[in-house]
Amino acid sequence: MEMAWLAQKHAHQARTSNKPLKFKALSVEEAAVVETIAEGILPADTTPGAKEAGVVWFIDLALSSFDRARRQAYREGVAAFEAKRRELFPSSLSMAALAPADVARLIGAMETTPFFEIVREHTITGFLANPEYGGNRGEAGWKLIGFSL
Amino acid sequence: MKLARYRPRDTVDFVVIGSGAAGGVVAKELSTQGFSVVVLEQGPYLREKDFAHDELKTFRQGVLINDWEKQPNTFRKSPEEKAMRQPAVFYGRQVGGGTVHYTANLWRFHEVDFEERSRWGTVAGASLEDWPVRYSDLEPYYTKVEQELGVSGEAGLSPFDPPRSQPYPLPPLPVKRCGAIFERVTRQMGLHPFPAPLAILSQPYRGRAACTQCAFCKSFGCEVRAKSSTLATVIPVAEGTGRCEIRSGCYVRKIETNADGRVTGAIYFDGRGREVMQKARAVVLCANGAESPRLLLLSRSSRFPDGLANSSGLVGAYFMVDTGVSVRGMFERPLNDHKGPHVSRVIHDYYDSDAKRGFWGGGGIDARFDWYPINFALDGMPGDVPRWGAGYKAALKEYFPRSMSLLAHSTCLPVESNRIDLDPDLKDAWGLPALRMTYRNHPDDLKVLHFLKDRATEILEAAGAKKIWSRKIEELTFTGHLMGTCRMGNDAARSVVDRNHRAHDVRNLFVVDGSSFVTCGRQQPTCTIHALAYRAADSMAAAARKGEI
Ligand SMILES: Cc1cc2nc3c(=O)[nH]c(=O)nc-3n(C[C@H](O)[C@H](O)[C@H](O)COP(=O)(O)OP(=O)(O)OC[C@H]3O[C@@H](n4cnc5c(N)ncnc54)[C@H](O)[C@@H]3O)c2cc1C
Repeated sequence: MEMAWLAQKHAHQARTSNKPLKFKALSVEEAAVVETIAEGILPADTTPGAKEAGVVWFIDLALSSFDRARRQAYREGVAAFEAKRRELFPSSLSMAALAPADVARLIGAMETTPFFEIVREHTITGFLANPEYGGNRGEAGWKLIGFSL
Repeated sequence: MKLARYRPRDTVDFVVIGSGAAGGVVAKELSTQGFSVVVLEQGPYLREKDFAHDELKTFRQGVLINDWEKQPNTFRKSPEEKAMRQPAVFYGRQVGGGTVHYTANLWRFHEVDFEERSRWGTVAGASLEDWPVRYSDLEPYYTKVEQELGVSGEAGLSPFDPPRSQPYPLPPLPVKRCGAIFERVTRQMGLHPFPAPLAILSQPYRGRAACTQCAFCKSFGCEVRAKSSTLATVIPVAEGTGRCEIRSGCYVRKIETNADGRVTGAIYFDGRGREVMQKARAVVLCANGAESPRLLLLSRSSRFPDGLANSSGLVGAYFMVDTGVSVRGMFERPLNDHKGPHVSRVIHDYYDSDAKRGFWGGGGIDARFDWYPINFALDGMPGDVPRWGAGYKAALKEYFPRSMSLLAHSTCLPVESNRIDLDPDLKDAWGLPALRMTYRNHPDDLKVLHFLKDRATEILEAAGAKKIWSRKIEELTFTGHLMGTCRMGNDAARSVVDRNHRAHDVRNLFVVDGSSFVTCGRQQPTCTIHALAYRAADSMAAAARKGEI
């Protein structure tokens, strides 16, 4: 029952702690890159996207629990995305600072990589999993598709 | 209520291996008829509080199904190949077996399903045979299934239904929007839609609550006990007799025999990995169409060098699977069909084989929505929607509430080389040979799929679907309906058990579950598995009373 427990713990911390949540598996820099990719997969428009729904928190939870095995893939994948960013947009300072259209261009250049598949699966999963797992905040994902428990 | 507890060295009347569709029924029947029973179930004994509406946990952790890390499978298409490690079979692995997490379509087979050979003749490359029992032999037991477990449906609406002695005990569940569209359109086309019979309570029944129309049937356990699993129905009755012990977490590795060739009990690994032998006067094997033959093959001894009950060499042979094809449609206006049991209307107009089509086989078509958010978003949309970005998000929003599926559940032929047996190299976490599946669809199976896919597509076109799509039809390599590996028959050289499920070779060994099937029906095997189990238990009990075991 490891997963349910983790989800509860996460939800409990988010509710009770006045300290900001800390990432467990990702560094702050990696988290910023992952969050930008996730937002590119499910962007905000008139409804919340991956960022507002907290998908990066879900991914961090996954990488520190049931998907620990994919930590290394993230480490390398994030670096590869960063390298591609510098190649395509040499004057850019960070992923998070790219305009949405540039993020889309970058993802387009990376969409056939196995790492992108992993992030895509994680992003979609987090966005639509039970909110306790951190990535479907305010049931943003469920509201989009008209689902309720 | 005092629960029965036996010591392994006590010789009980019956050990039942597996507590699923068949095992649960057998345990209840034998214990209520006065026999002492120990049920050995490898999975856990879960309760309603353990069933959560949590898609991530249920699928990612596979909490209710077999675990291929611990009990790996191997697969190959033909006996010449070396089988490779991959998930091949899946089934419910807990007290209640597959009835805990199944979709709960529970309809009877038709008369033709028991007499394919006499009605059709032979098919090259397959072993089409009649069953040693007919629909009329099973009819009283089908009735018992519906009455005791609680099945919702409406008799008399399908002209193709076999005769029945009693109506369903409960009215059908509410129709879904996809069911209403399907009903209107198929009727206009001259077809005969009827409410899907479901092992889900439409009204309170025998102390259990009615369905609350949540979204979580397929792959989930029902926390209000509205799904008529053996866990919610017959197993509590068995325990209530004070004569039946359900021993969970016990993985049977061998059915033990003595020098006289009689079964003496079952050896299992308990939760702590210790080997325990439970003694019994007779053993009833109900471990399903994949694990039952595997366990017989694992139970070889000097007296039974090719595996127990295997003098015919047919233990594991004629494996049959859940062939089917899903055609999906997306509509202009929302259907919002994610709530409630997944299936509500069915047609059986294409059920029987028809020589004019040029191949053997047929099937039913049902209208359903059986997706959950994550698996829909990853797998539920057509291949031409964008995979990410604003276009993907917009598609998700459009498709989820507007989609439905027509599932054609169809036939597959029994072929001798399609088998479950033991992998020569790979071992499971207990050191036992892994389950190996050898399977290739007969060409007729694929022809039926193409035929039914066209019929389902016609229906969606007539319904005005805005977009229609389906996956390419391919040979099946992974299955959750497990049938046909310990065939029933009158001829001991051509089958494994007799018409009463007694092993031809071993007097006090019975095998009843999906493995007993001679032919496959049109999928949805569980109603027939339950009925066979009721009938088998009756004849075991009668034989035991007469001292004939
Ligand atoms: C997702 C899904 C949906 C389904 N939906 C439907 C449906 O709508 N309608 C329908 O008719 N069918 C459906 N089925 C199929 C249905 O679940 C099976 O047909 C049915 O449960 C088979 O019954 P059984 O008694 O043969 O075996 P099972 O129900 O599989 O029971 C066998 C039991 O034996 C146990 N066991 C196995 N080996 C050992 C061992 N060595 N030691 C101890 N215990 C052991 C297993 O853990 C299991 O609990 C569905 C299946 C799946 C996977």
